[in-house]
Amino acid sequence: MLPYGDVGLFMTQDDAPAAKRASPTTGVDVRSSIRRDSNRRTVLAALPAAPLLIFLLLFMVIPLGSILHTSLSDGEIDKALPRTTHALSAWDGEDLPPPAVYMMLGRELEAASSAGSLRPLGRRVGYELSRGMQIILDGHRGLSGDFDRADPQGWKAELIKAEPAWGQRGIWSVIKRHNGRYSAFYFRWATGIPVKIDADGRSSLETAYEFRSIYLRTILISLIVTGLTIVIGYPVAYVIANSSGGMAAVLLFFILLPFWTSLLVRTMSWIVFLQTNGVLNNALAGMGLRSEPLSLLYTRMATIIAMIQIQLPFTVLPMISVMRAIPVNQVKAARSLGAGPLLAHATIFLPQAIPGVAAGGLLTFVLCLGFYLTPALVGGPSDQMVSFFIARFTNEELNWGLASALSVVLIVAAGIVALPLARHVARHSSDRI
Amino acid sequence: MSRRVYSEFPAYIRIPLYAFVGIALLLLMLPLAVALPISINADPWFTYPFRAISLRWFTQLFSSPLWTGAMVNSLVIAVSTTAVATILGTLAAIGLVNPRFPFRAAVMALAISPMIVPVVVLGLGLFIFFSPLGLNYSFAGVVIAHTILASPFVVITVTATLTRFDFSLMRAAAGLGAGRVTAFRTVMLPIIAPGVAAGAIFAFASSFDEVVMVLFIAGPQQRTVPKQMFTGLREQLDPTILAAAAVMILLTSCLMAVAYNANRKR
Repeated sequence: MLPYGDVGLFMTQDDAPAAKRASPTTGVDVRSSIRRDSNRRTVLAALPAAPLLIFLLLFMVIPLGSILHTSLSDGEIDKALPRTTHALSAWDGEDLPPPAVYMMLGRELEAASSAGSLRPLGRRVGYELSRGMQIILDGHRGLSGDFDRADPQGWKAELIKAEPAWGQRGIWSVIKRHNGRYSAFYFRWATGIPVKIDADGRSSLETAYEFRSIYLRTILISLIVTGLTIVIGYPVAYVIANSSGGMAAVLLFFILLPFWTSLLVRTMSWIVFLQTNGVLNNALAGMGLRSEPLSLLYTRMATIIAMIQIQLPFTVLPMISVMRAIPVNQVKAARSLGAGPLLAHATIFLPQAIPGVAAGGLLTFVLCLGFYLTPALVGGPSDQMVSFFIARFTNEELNWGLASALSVVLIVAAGIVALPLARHVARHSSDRI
Repeated sequence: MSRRVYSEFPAYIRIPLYAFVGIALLLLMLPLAVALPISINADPWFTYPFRAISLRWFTQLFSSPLWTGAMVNSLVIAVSTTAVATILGTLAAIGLVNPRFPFRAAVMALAISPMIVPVVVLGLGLFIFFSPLGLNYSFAGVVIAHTILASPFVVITVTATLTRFDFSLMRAAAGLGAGRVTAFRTVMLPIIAPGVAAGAIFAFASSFDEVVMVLFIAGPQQRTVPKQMFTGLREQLDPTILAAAAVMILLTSCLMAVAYNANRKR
């Protein structure tokens, strides 16, 4: 890959033939000494990269692992109600559990309350059961009254009196299902499988987030942006790749300037440009074209336009570097053999430019899949993509399990798309400078 | 230069092609070109033409403790990030250009992956990882997060510089009795310095502009300029934000110009 041979910073003193320094007596010794020396050189070669690799391992790979762990961790119910979940494993799920289980649950709710794990339990139950938090808290509150604590029937009556949902199957089936520390619950939720039930145990009609349509929307917006950046970027890359020195530098500068301008500032400029009393609407009104301002901001259109502007350099730069390597003479030869200009381009130039188009397109698509900032600021509520919901579940709803499961889905999807890209990115990413 | 393939195209294709490219490049610049001058509009409207020009938004920017505090935070975080990312990235690049490096392609992909992995996912991962360590809502946490995002820029830039470095110079230095560290300090570093400087500048710019990690990791004590702008854009857009943007653009374009020149000279 690199133009020079076996040289490097940490090889300078090792280039004397290894055999000379090894014991001259036996061949075996020499061979093992060479191997040892070669191992030593490999270690020395890798040594300078070690700090960054350790850093990335510690602060990127392990955190990504903890996302996976969080997405599978689901221990709140079992932690707060260990004996109840165990006892419920014998329950058939049809009728109500026996009064002894009510008593066990009641005692565990009281223990959970004094251990401070009642609210986490309520939150977790609430993910799966409508009004789950309230059912847990009301049930616990109902136990503070005066009743015969030795009689299981008393516990049952108090719980159902405080919250009728304890007399239905829903809450019990949720508790029964979570008798372990790990489950695929957050993944089922994040892949759009209906997880919420009502107190009567039936599937809840209440649908909070339609993750499948969010994924579809993410893919759709990314595809549209990628397609349009290729359509716009291809001619731009072609002209830049085929311009001579000064002209190419100027054109490249126009591509790179927004590229190196703050992403936030570019997004802000779209807001200023498109908002209701913004520049574009005022210009239109000033020209007498429009009396009513157009609502351009917080629309799908604004999201896509702003994303195109921000992604275009990523698409164009790999294209340019591939196009620059295409021999000019081949197109000339095709022309001299009678092909028209467009035919010559389509049959000679375009096929050779495809790797650049693919690399630019893939890079853009992968970056679009995870795009957060611009859609969050420029798009409306119905234009938000997966990243937005990851941020929202992390920072606002504090549902880290779901945020993690969404992240895993996003990473896996982006990884599948990005895999063929990795080598190419490594090779061409220096072009952006 | 004889690479004028487009001259192979007849005028009826060439002229629309040029026009298309020209318009596309102009549209790329249009929102910025239109938005930034509004920072010197005396009136708090986002419209043209201006009735008067004034620097009142800049005055407001530099007199507001919220903004000046954010600027100090941004500078502290960006400078620390630059220092860490430049050292880690330069060393890694030196290792990675060595053909002997084991699993070089895979390691290079790992080193560059923070550019591709969605920032919200990195932010969530660090947030979860940091909570038991107490690094959330701390300067150290933000610097670590930014270093992850900034180091690929250094690795890429320095690797590109090193591919043009003549490694026989290192042998020559060794032949003259220099140890590895001396050879690195007196021979390699001065030659690759422009590339390292460019990498450092990109690292600085990426940290100075970063907001998503800050949203995840930082607390009110680590409020940066981008965070302040983000909040303003979400709640109430006022021209002070445009003044802040203008200052940011000015700073980063000065730095970029330095980086560009450093890279051209090498």
